[in-house]
Amino acid sequence: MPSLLDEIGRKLKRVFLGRIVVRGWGELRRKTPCRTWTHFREVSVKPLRIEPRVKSALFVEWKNSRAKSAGSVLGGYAPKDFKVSGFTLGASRELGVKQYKFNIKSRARARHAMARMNGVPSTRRNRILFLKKPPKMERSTLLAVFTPIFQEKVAKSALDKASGNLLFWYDNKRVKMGDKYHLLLLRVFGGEKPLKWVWLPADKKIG
Amino acid sequence: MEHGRQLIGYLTVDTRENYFRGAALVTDSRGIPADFRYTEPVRPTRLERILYGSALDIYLKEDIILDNLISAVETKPSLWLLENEDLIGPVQKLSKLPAIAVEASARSPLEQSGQCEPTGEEGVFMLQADNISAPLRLTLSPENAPKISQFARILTASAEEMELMEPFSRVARALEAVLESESKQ
Repeated sequence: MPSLLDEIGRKLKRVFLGRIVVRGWGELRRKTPCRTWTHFREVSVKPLRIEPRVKSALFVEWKNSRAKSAGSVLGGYAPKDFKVSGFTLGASRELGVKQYKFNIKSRARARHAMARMNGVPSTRRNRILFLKKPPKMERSTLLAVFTPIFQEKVAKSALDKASGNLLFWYDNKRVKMGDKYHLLLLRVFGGEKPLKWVWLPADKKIG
Repeated sequence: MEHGRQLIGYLTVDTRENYFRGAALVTDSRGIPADFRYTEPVRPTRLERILYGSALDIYLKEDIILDNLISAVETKPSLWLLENEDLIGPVQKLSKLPAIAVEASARSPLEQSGQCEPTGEEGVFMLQADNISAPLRLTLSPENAPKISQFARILTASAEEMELMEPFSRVARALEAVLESESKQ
């Protein structure tokens, strides 16, 4: 159905003998060239809501008292909504300070070892250097003086050639101690044996 | 006392190769053992070394090793002989017995056995314990220094029947034997 404007246009065309073309508004608008521009815009996305931030959580305990949220969790989240990597909320209660147990004292326990000590020999150093007057002997010379030794209690003895010390073991089962002695080591000249051991009562001065 | 003889105690604390250990030997005046105790070697962990710091050495020696040894020894000596004078105070405090640090000297012998002379250093004396050896250097705590003649008599009497320093080497050999047997296990 032609509009009122179209009717007016036709009448005007007839009046001006077709010299004037009256066009409708919609037709004019369609023939208007359309220009297109490209418009660049930066797009930024901003959250409309504040990010949730945990102020306290269920897994935090201190001295057996749980830290409560008391509405401090923002964004409508509850503490149970958050997870700590590696721990569930249930297991997190086991987290705590480990106590280091010092057990040095128990490690340094004193042991009784008399049997072992009885197996260790006693020693006597060669004291010849401390003789004020080394004794003069015929056909022999004094090499070493070991003193004092309870001769009757000696079970066995040996000369440590490396140190020059005399090693000996007392027989602790022998009740009798006897007298104490000096033990002298002599080098004998012209004898069958070049070395000779001599026990000398300790009350005798040897130098 | 045993058979009227004085008992002498020997205490050592050994610190080497990152471990601490100690031993106590009580002998009669002839050197015959009456009691022997030793502690297992204590090797502090790295964490313990860090936590205790410079106090570790003192703590282990005094509070741990000496305390364990002294309380374990059943045969109480008349006095303790030590190789290290730093231990005099702790040993006296723990044992309530006199402790004397003793070491061999290189000095020429004094005139006669039993002779004891002050050196000029406080609490330090030279004792000629027997006729044929060098004098011994004795270090006493200030409170025990006035009693030196009493201690000198005990030591001289023992030196007539034994070598006073010899039990220290016996203790060292016993500890080596213990360590050897423990390492084999």
